[in-house]
Amino acid sequence: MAFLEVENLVKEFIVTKKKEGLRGAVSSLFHPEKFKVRAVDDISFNIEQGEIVGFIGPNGAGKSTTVKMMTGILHPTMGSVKINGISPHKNRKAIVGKLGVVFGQRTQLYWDLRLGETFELLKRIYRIDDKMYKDNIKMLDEVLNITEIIDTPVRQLSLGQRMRGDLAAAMLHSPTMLFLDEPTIGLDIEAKHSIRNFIKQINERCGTTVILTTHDLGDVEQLCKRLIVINHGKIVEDGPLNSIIERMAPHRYLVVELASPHQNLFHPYAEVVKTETLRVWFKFDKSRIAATELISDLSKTYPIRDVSVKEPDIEDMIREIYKKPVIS
Amino acid sequence: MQVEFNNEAKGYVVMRAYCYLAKMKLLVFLSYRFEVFTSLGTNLIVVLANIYLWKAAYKGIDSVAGVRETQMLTYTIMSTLLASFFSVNIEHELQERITHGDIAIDFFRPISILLKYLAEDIGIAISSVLSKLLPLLVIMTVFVQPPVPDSPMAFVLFLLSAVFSFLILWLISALISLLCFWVLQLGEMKTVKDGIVLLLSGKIIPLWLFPKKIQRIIEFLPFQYVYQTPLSIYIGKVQPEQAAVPMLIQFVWIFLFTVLLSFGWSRARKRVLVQGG
Amino acid sequence: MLENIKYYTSVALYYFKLSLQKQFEYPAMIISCVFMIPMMYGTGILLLYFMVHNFQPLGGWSFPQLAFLFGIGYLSHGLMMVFSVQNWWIESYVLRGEFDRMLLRPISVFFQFTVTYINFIGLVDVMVGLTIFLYSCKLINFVWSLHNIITIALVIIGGVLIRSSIFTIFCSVAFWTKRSESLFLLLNDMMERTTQYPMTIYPYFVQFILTFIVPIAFISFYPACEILGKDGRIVFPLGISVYTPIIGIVMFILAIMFFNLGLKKYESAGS
Repeated sequence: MAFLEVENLVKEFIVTKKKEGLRGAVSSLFHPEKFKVRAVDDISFNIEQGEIVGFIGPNGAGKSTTVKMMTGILHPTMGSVKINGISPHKNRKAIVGKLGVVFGQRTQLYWDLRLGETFELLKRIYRIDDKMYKDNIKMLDEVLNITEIIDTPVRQLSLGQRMRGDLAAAMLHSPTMLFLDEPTIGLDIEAKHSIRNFIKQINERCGTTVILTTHDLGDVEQLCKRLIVINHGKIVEDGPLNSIIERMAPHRYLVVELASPHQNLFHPYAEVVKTETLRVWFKFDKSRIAATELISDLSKTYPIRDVSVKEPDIEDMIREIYKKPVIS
Repeated sequence: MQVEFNNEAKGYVVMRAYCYLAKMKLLVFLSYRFEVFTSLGTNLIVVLANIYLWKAAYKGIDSVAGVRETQMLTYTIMSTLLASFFSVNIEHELQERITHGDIAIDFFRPISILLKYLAEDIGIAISSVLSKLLPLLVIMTVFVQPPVPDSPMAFVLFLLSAVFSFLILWLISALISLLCFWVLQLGEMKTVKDGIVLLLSGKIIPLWLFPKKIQRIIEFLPFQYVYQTPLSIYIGKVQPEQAAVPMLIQFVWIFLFTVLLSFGWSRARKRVLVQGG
Repeated sequence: MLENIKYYTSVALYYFKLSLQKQFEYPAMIISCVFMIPMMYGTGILLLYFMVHNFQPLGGWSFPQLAFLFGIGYLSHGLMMVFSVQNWWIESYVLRGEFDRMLLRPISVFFQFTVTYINFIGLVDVMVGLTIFLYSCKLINFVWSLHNIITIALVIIGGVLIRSSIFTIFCSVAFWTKRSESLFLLLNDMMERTTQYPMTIYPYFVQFILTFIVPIAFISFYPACEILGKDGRIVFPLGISVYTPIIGIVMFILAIMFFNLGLKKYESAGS
């Protein structure tokens, strides 16, 4: 049995349509027009313990709705979610003590008080005994440098520090599963780096399963061995990141630096995508021709001074995935 | 090619603009209908409770201090109507802008910002006639009694006096908001002022019920001239011949407060421009 | 069982501590309320005094009796303001997703909601109410027998429960309509006007509704009638005061049920 099982999950919302103009406003008072929206349309997947899974998708794709159902905040219209065999919305209190959740844009920290006060409150709510509390604080200090900010009032923390605080608060009770909703949003490079480092570390040290919703492809690249792409409420891709890249963007780029300018470079298995005076970008399918072969072919024909091979841009790949039509 | 607008076309355009504005107002009203109804409900409850209290007080008694039951009921109804008319926004606005530092820009504007607030508050007062005052008036007339003025002259003088009252109240609020320049964490000064007004203005307790000595003291304060004065004129406790004196005192208070306000305002201005917000 | 009680108590106490710390960050608010609240309620009682003094006892109630009614009603109001003012904010909690956060914690949402904020400013209300009440007790020569003290305590507790429950039930409407904040003020005014003055000054149908449909009359009126020996227009078997705490408990259970119903709706509709 997988740790997290999502089976045929569906979520429908009833939306009231507001009509235009004065007549519309009056008629909405008496005869509001309602229709159903399927935010999540029959999705299924399993996640094993210890995985780090990235959830991506355009805005409105159904990501946060899915996450809310996985954490038990929202009831599914149809289908089921099971964490370790237990349904989170049916047995809320049993499951929730083992989950940690961080919302990127909302904080659970008490705004006006020291960070430590929120920790003390959570210690009591989650019934964390003194030893576990001490150990966890120590571990969080190693990974997040938490004692540096534990005495600062939350409203005085920078965004990056506040995020560290929220992550620590979510980990305090040693959850087996961590849900992170856009944890690196708005952070600078330094801060993003330390958050990603934290996620890697707790996954390695504690075996925490991490489910990460993000728009930041740096997060995807650095953290997610597995990627689930959701669009229009359906799963569009689900698998190891490498194989998705292989499939969606099987090409690579070869950048050739010429010794002297040449026009109209050509190779049967490569496409010229960009040219500058002394540089040419080739795009080639690595399943049709190897880089080494292409280089040797080209150097026979053209005066090449230097070459470099580039991997495809994840961003391009993701954009391609978003564009794919969703089959019902 | 010259395009000429004749007067008819101009009038048409203006009419359409006003219709559009009215439509917008109505749309906004409909979307906030919940709050409007609950605020109407609150006003209704308060005035009805007071009405029943006065009925119980007057049971079997003809008049006290020269005031009969119907007059007292009229007083109560009109007091609530006046209160719905006297809503003032300047204190919120000004306090907000001072604490956020936006106020510095206002000093550089060509139009005095105070006049702008006054115009806004007058606008709000007039619109609340439609949204608050009229519905209350209708309900009170149907379910309790129509609040008839003592005489046509009394009504006219009442209107003038009410305008003075509005100005006095507005000036007091503006002066209190001004304190924000010096005491940044003003907290809820507005509510303290409201509390004093509640007690000493005749809004709830007609001042002729207070012991004579206290009445003497209250006469030197501006509060009585906000509610008591217009209301007593309306119900005829103060007859038109006698109205000149209290209305004159209203005017004096307006004058005093205006002077104080402009003085305080220029001091505040100096402070901001020197200190930099 | 004991474990559970210790658990809930320690969580509640810590929430209280944080509430207190949070509120002392904003002293200006406290200071202005200390001035404003006594003035507001002072006006109310002063009106009653002047009315009786210049006219006659209202509805047959003399000023000491009126003050007693006022005081006993105001005490339960003050305590309600201390413990359940957060009902006012259900609407804003719904809109801000605060309940999401509460649902993610392994403890009853209603419990979290109840203890998350202890309104210390409400203690000003309690102080004023206590002053008026004790003063009125002196005026009516209240006998401080054990029986009477227990009665008063039960009436106050019952009154607090009835008030809180009414607010919870009405403000929980926000789970369906996303609107309820202004309802709080409306209810508050209504409750005030009907617990500060004798029911008998209002028409009969008002008293009927406030007895059998929304039991506000049990908060202060009926208990005061019994203690002062006045005619309450509607008569009940047994001592009336005993109904107040019972109704309070029943209402509170209803309120919890309604709140949880709203929460279920929130969980299926999202925010």
